[in-house]
Amino acid sequence: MLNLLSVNFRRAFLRKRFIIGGGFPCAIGLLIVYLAYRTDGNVDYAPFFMTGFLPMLIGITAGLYISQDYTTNTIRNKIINGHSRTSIYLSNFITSMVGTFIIYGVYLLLTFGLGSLVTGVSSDFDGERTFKGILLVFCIMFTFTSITVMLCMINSGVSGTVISTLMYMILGMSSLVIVFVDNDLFKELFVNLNPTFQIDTVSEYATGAEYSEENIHISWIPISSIAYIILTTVIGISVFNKKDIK
Amino acid sequence: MEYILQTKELCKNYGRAKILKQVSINVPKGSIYGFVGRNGAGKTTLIRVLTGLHVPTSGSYSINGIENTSGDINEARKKIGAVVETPSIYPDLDARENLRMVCRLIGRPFDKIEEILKLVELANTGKKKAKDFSLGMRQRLGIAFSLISDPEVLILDEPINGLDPQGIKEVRELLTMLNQEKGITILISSHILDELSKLATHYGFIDRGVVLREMSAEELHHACRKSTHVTVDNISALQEVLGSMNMDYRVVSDTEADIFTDFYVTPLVTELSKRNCTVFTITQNDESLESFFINLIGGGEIA
Repeated sequence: MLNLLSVNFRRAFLRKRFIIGGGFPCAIGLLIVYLAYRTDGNVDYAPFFMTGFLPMLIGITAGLYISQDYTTNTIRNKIINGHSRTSIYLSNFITSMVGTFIIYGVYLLLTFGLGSLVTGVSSDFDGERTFKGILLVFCIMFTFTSITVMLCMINSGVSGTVISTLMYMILGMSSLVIVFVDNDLFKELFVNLNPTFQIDTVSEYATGAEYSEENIHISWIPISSIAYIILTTVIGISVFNKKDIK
Repeated sequence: MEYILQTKELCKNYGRAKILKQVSINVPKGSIYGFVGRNGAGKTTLIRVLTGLHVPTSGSYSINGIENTSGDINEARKKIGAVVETPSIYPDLDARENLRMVCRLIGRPFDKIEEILKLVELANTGKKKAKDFSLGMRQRLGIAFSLISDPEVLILDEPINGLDPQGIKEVRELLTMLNQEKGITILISSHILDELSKLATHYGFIDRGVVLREMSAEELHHACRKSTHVTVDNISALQEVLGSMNMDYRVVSDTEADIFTDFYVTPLVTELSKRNCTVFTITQNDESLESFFINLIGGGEIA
């Protein structure tokens, strides 16, 4: 496993693709700080400005990394050299999770870390709520990462990457289901367990906008994230173990 | 005989299509095993199964005596080097970086890289990226990949496909050296029979997913040897005459023999008639490896 991770980290993080993937949120982060500085604003809610865009970045960086292993057939080297398929899957999972952590972590450091030094925070800034919100965003991003790894490991081509990149929008569009189902419990479950809606919920929770504790369960997010991660990983490993590699 | 690779009634289906049908092969340790078959016969599929890329539908295989159902199969696979169809190289890296990547993958130090690069004649490629390599260079880099782990078995799927005559010669010489000097067992698939015949010590013939026959190079040589087939009514008389004429022959049945030495027909027939032995037929048999294979698969074209 350590050998696989050693190769993965070199292949994933020391390449142009990751630098571009990670560079984009950095550029956005710096822009946010600059705009806050120029308008005499603050960066109180900056950690949540780009959360809707992050799943797409995860889809691009993690998805392209995994699918490249298929398109160049270098995934064969891992199998032929005696690594178990479960180890190969888990090493890609860990690499992608670290990638996600780095991308959002760097964005946070720039916007919130650097931003709070440059502009400071407002007097009504709620540190505890913001910290909780950041942890919840990490949970949701790890869910998207896990889905991305599953889709890309069980699809040999770039289709997994494409679906992963659009996953935020696909899950958002699935809200149409609510229109056709007249059941309050279903609606409550659907809204609270859908990762796309969870992102909106966290933003509303952290910024204090339109947040109602009546139907929205913030505590469900970490639990559902763990459930999604376990479920997608188990499905991914079991399908990948039976998959024929070209 | 000790076998390093064996399959037992191995089957592989893609949906309803049966690609491998109860394939059983035995690769002797230290041999160069030529796996011969037309395009689509199932050679690559079998190699993919043996290297763990494909999961068999039924049946089993063993590497160094370790069954594929055993938990130790991944350990056994570490003693295998393989190039399946196109070499799985990292296109954006040069030859040295490529090999370093494989060393990291298997947890080996980098100290053998220069030796292997020299062995496959890629030591002078410098910073040239693998994506800019010629097909022959890529094949040799693929072979270098498989040599990094000090393999006991090398599995090569059509390694000379697309190579020019010089490239074919280089690969052939490299494989012969690896087999004879390092004792590496080589399983090599090809449909270029002439080229295989210069390398292989054993053969397995496959067609439409079925292994038709396994034989040693010696047996194949005998089967393809130029000979004259003689049918008589007294085999003892024939043996006596052939012995007295110092001819190389093989008795096939009570009335038949194959003669491998060139001879004049009249003196032989005269000697036989003196012993009251009647000659029924004399036919020339000059079967090439190619025609042997065509006969084996029951006619048709070789792809």
